[in-house]
Formats: sequence, C-alpha cells, structure tokens
Amino acid sequence: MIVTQTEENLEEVQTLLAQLAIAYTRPEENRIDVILPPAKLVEAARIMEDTGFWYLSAITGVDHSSSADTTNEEKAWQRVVEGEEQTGFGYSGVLEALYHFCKGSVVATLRVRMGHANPNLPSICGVVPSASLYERELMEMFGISIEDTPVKDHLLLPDDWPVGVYPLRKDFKGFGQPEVEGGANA
Amino acid sequence: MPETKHGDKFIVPIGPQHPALKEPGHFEFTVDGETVTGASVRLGFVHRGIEKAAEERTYIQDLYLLERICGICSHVHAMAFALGVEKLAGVTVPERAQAIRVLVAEMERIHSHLLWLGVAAHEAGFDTLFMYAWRDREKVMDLLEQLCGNRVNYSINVLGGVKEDVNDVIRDGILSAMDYLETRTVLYLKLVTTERTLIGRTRGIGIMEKQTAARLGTVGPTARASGLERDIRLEAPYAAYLQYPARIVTEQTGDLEARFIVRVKELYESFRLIRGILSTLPGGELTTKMPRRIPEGETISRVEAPRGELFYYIKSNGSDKPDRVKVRTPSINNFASVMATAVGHKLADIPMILSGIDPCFSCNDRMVSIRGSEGQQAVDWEELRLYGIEYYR
Repeated sequence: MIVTQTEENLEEVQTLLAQLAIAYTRPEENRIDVILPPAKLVEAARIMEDTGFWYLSAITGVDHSSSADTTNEEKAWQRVVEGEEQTGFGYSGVLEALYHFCKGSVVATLRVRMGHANPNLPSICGVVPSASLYERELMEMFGISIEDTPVKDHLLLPDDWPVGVYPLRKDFKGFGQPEVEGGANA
Repeated sequence: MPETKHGDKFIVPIGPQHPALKEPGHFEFTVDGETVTGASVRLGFVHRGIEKAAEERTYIQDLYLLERICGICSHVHAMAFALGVEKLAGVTVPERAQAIRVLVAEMERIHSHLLWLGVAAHEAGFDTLFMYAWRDREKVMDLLEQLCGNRVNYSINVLGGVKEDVNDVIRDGILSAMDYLETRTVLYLKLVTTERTLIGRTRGIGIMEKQTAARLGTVGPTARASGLERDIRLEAPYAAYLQYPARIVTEQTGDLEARFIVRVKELYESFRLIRGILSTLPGGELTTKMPRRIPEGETISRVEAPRGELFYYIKSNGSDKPDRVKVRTPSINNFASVMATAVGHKLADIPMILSGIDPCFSCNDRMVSIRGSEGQQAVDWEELRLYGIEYYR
C-alpha cells in the first residue's frame, strides 16, 4: 500500500510541474528531482503549496566546486543550464539550491542552479512564509542574493562576520590559527 | 519587524541565552501593553559550524560529531546519518541491529518526553510534576547507560549496525521499568487533563488550527496536537519501523493542553513498541561490513525525532569524506509556529508557548530585557516565569 501511495505522489509532482520543469530525475524510489530555471521557482513553489498537502521540509544549499564528478546526469544538467543562456557558467562554479517538499514518504526536490559569479534567486516567502529562515541561511552561508526576502539579517553567523565570506562555499578554508599572545610556541 | 512607536509599544527581547532551544536563540516580542503584537527570531549563538566540519572529516568521525548536535535526541542524529550513509553504500544492515536502533530511539523518546513534561510543568509553576517527571526519567537514563554505556550521546550506532547487544538481564530490566513507567504515565495523563492549576495555563492557549500548522510546515507532536497526521515512523518507515509499526497519536484542539496530551500518550506508544521489540527481537549479527569510501551519490534520510521530523541531506563524492551534509532539526520548523501563535497572546503566556514546541532546554538561566522608549529594563527569565505564574495566580 505504501508503495502505490509513493508512486501516486511521485506522479502527482510530475503532473503538477509539467509546464515548468526542464527535466525530472528519480534518484531513489521515494524521491523525485525537478530541475527548474530560477525564474520559475516561485511559481513551482506556489503550485506545490496550493495543493495543501506538500510542505516545505528544508532548503539545502550545495556548492559543487570541488566535485570532480562529471557523470552523465551532471553533464545533462550542465547542458540544461547553458541552454538557459547564462554566461560565465562552468560546471566547476555551480551553486545549487534544493527546495525539499515532502508528502508522505516522498521527497520532491526543486533544484535551481546558479553561477558563482552572480548567484541570485527569487524569494519564495510570499508563498511559503516559513522559508524565511532557510533563505537567510542560503544568503549568509553561500552568498546567494535573494533580493525580495523579508528579513536579510544574519541568522546563524555573528553580526560582525566579514562581508563577502561565505563559510559553506568550498573555497572557504577558515581564518587560520588564531594569534596566541606571546607567539605560537610561548 | 514592526516599527516601535514611542511610548505605547515595547519590544521585549528574550535571549540570546535561551534554554528553550537546541541553539540559544534570541526572540523579540513586540508588545502593546500586555498583548504581543509581533515576534521575530535570531539564531546562531552557539553555531558550531558542524555542517562545514562534517565535510572535512571521515564518515566514521562524522558519526560521532553529528551525534553531538543535540544532547537530548543524540541517537536519532547518529541513526539518521548512519541510515543515509548505509543507503549510499548500498549496504543492508542486519535486522537485529535495526531493531536495537528502534529500541534505543523509543527509549530516547521516553526520556525526551519526560524531560519536556518536567520543564513545561516548571514553566507553569507546577514544580511537583517537574520533580516527578524527572525522577522517573532517571529510570530510562539508567537503562540507556546499562545498554549503551552512556547516559547521553549513547554512541550505540556504527556505520553498518550497532555496537551493543541486548542480553537477558538488560531485557528484564527494561521490561520491568516499562511497567513502572506505565503506571506513572496514567498519573501524568490524569494530571495534565484534570489538574486545575495546570489547565489554567494550557487550555485554550496557543491554539494553532490544523490549516495553520500545515501551512507553517510544523512537525512532530506540535503538528499532531493540531490534528495533523505527520509522523515519519508511519509515513516513511525506516530502520525496523516496518516490522514494528507505530500508531499515530493526534489531538484536535491544537492548544497547549493538546501538546501535553499528545506527548504523554506517545509514552504509551513507546512502551508498546519497546515491549514488542523485546519479545520478538530477531537474532543474527549486529554489524555488517562497510566500505571506507562511499560511492558517489546523494540521499535524503528522514527520521522521527522526539520533536518531529529530522532531515538529513548527504552528498558523497566517492572519497571517505562527505561532500555535503545538511541537517535540518525539527525545532527549526516549529519556530514558525511560535512566531505565529504568540501574536495576540499575553506576555505572561510566552514562556509556556515557547516550551510548548519542546525546544531543547539546555540551561536554566537566561536574560530577558524589557526595552522601551525610556531605556532598558533588564529582568532574567526566572522573573518572566514568575511573572507568568503570578499573573495566573
């Protein structure tokens, strides 16, 4: 019974977002990934939310920089993204935001990709108010700019955190050893 | 945040040292006289950078690191991570190990719910119940120590199974403790539904409608108290929950009393599951061989922590270290419900509404300052708690 319900939910997502999605993948039996252009994100979130059954479970940011992987799926994505005519967008410099919507056992992930140079996303807070916390996290941890999000203050990092340093990006390696009074070996 | 008008509105900052959360948080409540008109949250005061740290450690090291995210529901963190990594590695964990994981998870739920019952009773000024609940909680803590070797951060999980086995002595100990706790739970259920002093603080307060709870993405007992049937143990059974199915406990009223009732009734459910597991514990090995390097891939692991759905996203890159680990704890989802339900309530109700979502209480003293147009008036949380108790006296 659980299996058929899962299958129904997976197909529901496919039907709901048929007009917006660039591509679908089914990475695991209870998951569906929907690849979206950033411009269609809010509309897709609205469609999911309006069903009344899907809820936003989390938003994950991923920095793909260090991944040396070029599996076929990844290559397909790269072509997809390039097809959106975004320039300066090598695979190595890709940031991705994953919007996980859940219903029953199914996790539907809306995936949007951005270049490192100028990553920005529309806010989905107008549709899902509870997304505010996750969007603040995306902004401070990955440096993704979300212009129309209601609150832009730091959520997790201190207020005096240096501007332009995004700790969950792969190129962040920490600030080095703290200075010890009287020298390191004193 | 709403604008502060001089003279007739005050912003009451609560925190940052706030025990009601896994992470100390800073809440600001805008009040008009006694009534709360707005609320906002600021987290991160004990941000430890665990997600980043996890990327620089091996999977085995991460298991111990992630178990230390929370001192109350530590087992579910390790279990969620282990289940995810095992899925990525394509490893099948022995049945006995999965059953022991569920056993420990349910014992942890009992300990967590009793802890919450005590803390919430304390916030309401009902310290007798607080003492009772915490005394009984010691029973479960002792059993966990006997089984795992630790009272907290049990460390029973390894990648590919569990470390410790259940022998006859431990089994009998657990079973007799369950009988004792069940008689105590009868008392607790009677108290939270009939004790006038407690009902005065809980009935009809902090009401969240089912639709609101669904829209805000509320999880766990907070959602179930609003009639929302959300429980990962049933929706997406993991570990051994397919063999030992949990029954969902819901209430329809959505107020603080319902959150009390749901959590107390869930104790019965845990007793039943634990007895079921111990009577039919499958035999066999405890662990299976795990590869050190995890094949490339990504997975999502969801488990039902005592506070609700715990969400792990794990991305592996073929090495012995994960590429990305994202942890979303249930309290994050439930914050939104505090922000929404606090509005329109009295300041005196805030301690109860905050504790109603069962955020982790890690320390007992916190600063509250009442800030207005004429400077700041600082009081500590204890004073706000007493203020709430006095208000309802």
